[in-house]
Amino acid sequence: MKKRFMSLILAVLVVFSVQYASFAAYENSIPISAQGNSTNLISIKRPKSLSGSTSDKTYTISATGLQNTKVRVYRLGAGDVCTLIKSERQIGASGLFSTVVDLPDSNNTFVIYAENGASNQVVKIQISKVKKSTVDKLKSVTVNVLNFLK
Amino acid sequence: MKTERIKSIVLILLIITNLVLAEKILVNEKLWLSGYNFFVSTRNSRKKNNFSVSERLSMPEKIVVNTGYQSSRFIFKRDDKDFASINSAASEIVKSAFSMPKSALEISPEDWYAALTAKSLYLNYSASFTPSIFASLLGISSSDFPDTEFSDIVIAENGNVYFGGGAAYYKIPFTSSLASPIIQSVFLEHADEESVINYSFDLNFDKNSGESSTVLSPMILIYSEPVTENTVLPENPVTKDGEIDRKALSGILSDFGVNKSSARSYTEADGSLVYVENNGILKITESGILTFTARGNGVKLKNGSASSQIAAFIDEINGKMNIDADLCLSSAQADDSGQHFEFDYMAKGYPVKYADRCAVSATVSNGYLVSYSQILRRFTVTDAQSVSPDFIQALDEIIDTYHGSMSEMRITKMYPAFFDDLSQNELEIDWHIAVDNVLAE
Repeated sequence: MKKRFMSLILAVLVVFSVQYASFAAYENSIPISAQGNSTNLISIKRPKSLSGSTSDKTYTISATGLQNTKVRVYRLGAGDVCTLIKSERQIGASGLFSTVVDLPDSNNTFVIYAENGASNQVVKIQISKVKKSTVDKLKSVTVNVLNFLK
Repeated sequence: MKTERIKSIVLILLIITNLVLAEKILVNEKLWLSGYNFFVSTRNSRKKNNFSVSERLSMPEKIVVNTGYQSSRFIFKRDDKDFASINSAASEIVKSAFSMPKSALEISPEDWYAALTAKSLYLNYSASFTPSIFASLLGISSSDFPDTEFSDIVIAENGNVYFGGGAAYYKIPFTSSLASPIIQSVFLEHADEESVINYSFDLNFDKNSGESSTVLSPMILIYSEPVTENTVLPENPVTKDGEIDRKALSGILSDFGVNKSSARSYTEADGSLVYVENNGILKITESGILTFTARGNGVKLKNGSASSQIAAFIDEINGKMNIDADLCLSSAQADDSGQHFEFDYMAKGYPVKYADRCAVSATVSNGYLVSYSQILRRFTVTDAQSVSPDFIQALDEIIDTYHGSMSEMRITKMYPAFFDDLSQNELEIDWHIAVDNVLAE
């Protein structure tokens, strides 16, 4: 009985330590499948729906979060591994966070990793790069539809 | 006979000059300052002030060229070489649009934001004004516009003019081909430059959210990089060797109606010089702060609108004090007691801020100067560079000081500026942050 109890505690410790060890290893890379254990450390403000499109060379991701939360930004490269592109920054008293990321591909996937004490959160963001003419066409369609509805 | 008379006149003049100069030597008064150069002085006296307040009264503090790409916007400050040409075209469009009677249509904030994210010119003013005050600054007759205050104007690529801020937004349908080529040329000229500047509304920092207690006004420009700028040396032109130089001030006394020979003057315990005249009291402190408070009507100003009168007055003072600094209108308000104006000095295109006052503040009532104060300063730009903190880092620091005592903080303005506490020798670029209200817990 005692052995079983000890094994149980050991198993729990192993599970936790593996989890922490894996996040501790997320210095320079993070698997795309990574999951956090929290959902309320940061809230992405842009892109609101966690996916956006732009014709720009860069994109500004914005978020709000709890003070002292450490945030790192990764980009999905070859395979399922995301590499660190923005080193750790800590959210201050304003609770605001923003970072500018380059958009080298037509489809870009970013992972925002936030950590505060034992809690951590992983948010995936998709940014598509489209031609300026396409954006302009979409804008004119929106305007026409709005005019039609009026 | 005629030659003899001319000779006599010349001789008399020489004798008079001789007597005057001899008298100066006898009373130990220096004929000229050490290092004085007659030729340089003559050249300077002919030099026109580069920054005439009268000519720059209706100029925005800065112009943002929105190229249609969200992350390639370009800020033009008042001292940038392209500012004048962009402002000239923008001013022409704005004047024409504001001259059209009953033309303003109320629009939604979404339409306003759409104009800013498309190709457009954004004119940002330090001051908020009603359309009637703005029209007087432009020198046009006031049209029938809604009674709203605004400090932002957007000119769309096709010439439509938008104005608003805070309570409501308006559009003046207008057609002009002047804006489009400017936007195009700025975009092409700066195509290789990285310029990531977002408006607060782009990043949704203008809305309250559970995680953050900080709300930024939608039009605040969020710089992605710290601002690097040359340092600036402020110079107090009033004090010499630790004392107020009466000679330097003698030229401006008459502008305040002070008669040098008959006015009562005394020095206060803190070293301030005070002139008491029938029409008012003029005080100059050792730190270079001049204040005039009228008794009775005050000082009669030249003809014109209140704004042009005060601009001409400041030009007069600056000219006589040898202050060749850009002054940007930062407030224009009217009430029963008159029209109140405030101005900020601009150095390298950025405002120079003081702890509890503006560079110039003045009240004009019925063509008379009722009150006036000016921090008398000259500025010299050095070769040394200063770097501001990162935008969000600066915001964090200011909020940290209030933290624990507030549930929400509204930031109304945040922009790069120099700060002068009247004792610093060298000013470095930093952030000016204006907080509207702190909602205490």
